[in-house]
Amino acid sequence: MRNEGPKMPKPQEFADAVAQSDGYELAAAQTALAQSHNPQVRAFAEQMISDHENMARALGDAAKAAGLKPPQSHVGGDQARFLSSLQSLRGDDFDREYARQQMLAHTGALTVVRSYAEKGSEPNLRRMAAGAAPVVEHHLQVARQMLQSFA
Amino acid sequence: MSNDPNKPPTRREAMKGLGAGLAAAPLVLAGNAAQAQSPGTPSQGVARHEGLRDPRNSYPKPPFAAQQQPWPGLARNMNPRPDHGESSYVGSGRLAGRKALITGGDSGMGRAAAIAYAREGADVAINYLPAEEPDAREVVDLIRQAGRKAVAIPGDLREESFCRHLVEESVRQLGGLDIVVCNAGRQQAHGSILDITTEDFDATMKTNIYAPFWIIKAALPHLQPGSAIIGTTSEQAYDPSADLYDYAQTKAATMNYVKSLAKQFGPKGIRVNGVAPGPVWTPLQISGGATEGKVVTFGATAPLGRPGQPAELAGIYVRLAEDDGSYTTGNIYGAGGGQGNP
Repeated sequence: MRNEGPKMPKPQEFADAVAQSDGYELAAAQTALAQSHNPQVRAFAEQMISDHENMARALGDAAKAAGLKPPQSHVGGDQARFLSSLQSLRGDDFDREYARQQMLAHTGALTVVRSYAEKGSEPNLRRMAAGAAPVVEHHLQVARQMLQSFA
Repeated sequence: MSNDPNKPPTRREAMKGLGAGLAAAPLVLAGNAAQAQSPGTPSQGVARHEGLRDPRNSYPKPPFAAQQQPWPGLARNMNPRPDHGESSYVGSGRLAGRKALITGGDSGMGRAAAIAYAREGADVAINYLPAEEPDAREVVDLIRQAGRKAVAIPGDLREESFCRHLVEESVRQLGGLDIVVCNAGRQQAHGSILDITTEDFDATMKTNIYAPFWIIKAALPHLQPGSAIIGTTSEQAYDPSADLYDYAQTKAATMNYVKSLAKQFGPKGIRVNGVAPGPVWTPLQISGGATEGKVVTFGATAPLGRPGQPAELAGIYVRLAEDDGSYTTGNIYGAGGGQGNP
């Protein structure tokens, strides 16, 4: 069988993956602000809204510069399952699940942006990825701390 | 009983092994010589464990290390290594004297089935791609350590002539055939239908749809009443992912052919069933079947919070092949981690 090798996402695939990640983060944070009374969770959610709105703008600019259709933030794939399980929880259960999802989602997102920043083919998107990586890494650290404090 | 970590474990050994973390690590079996499983015990095939075992914590959980291998990938190079029941599956004669052919028997669910079938008393032929030889050698050794005949037939299922050869060679070397497991699959994720070439689409259709057609057609004249055919379908048959457009529809086709052939072969005394896994930790996922970001969180969205391991499906493949399940045909047995399908 043809040897397809480890493959990098195409520019449009990468842009869509980031838009999906932003879409989930924004929707999950809005859900948290509606459903959680925990100050730590609410502060994190507000930070997510501000940072991921910025990232979505940076993505839009980079995509335009790359000659791609600007991707819309949206919830899709596995993250749709994350969001629907979140929407059905309340109280401590919600806070724990939000922290767990944030740890996992940011681990995945960090893998994607770091990998594209190193090896991606489109220079505008690479720059955007390199700029996003430290922000996502910081989110991951805070999500981990939040998860530990709820354990 | 022996101290050889590759020998099939007794039930007691398997119990001890379950607490020992990753099942890919060899068991340490010193000093248990008197505790072999008593013959004739009417036990289940899967490793027993005293008390409750929490399904959330039984196996590795995400996040996983980022990893990609060239297609088709090797289980032995995955981190963590998948558990196919090497150190946990305990047989009890449920398939004594049976003769099985398993495509994709080198890794994943096919490997878990091959190990379980051998420990249940079946002789087993496995098919795999030549690039998967290192995984396949391990399976051949495991089948032989279970005291059964192992037949290794590498080759590409996209060729009808090879599929016919595969069946004829299995029949010749096993001295017959009464279990056919059409399990081999090709899965490559593509974010857009525009990125799927005709060559890609054709490779997926040939491997996942044509090969079972050719194999079952060649096998049918050899299958006596009591024989069983099993197809590996997927949760993707019912809830397709956006980036698995081609793969998911082949799994829907598999779910469907199982039901059609069950009607056609019921009057011949041959049962046909399917297995529908959810997210399971196999080389399919780390060799292009899932994006890098999805691999890192693989299985995280399942209500059990982790991917399944092939070992957790071994008993299903046994169940659908054994005589004890004789009224089950045209059905799909799921292992979806709570995601709701089939």
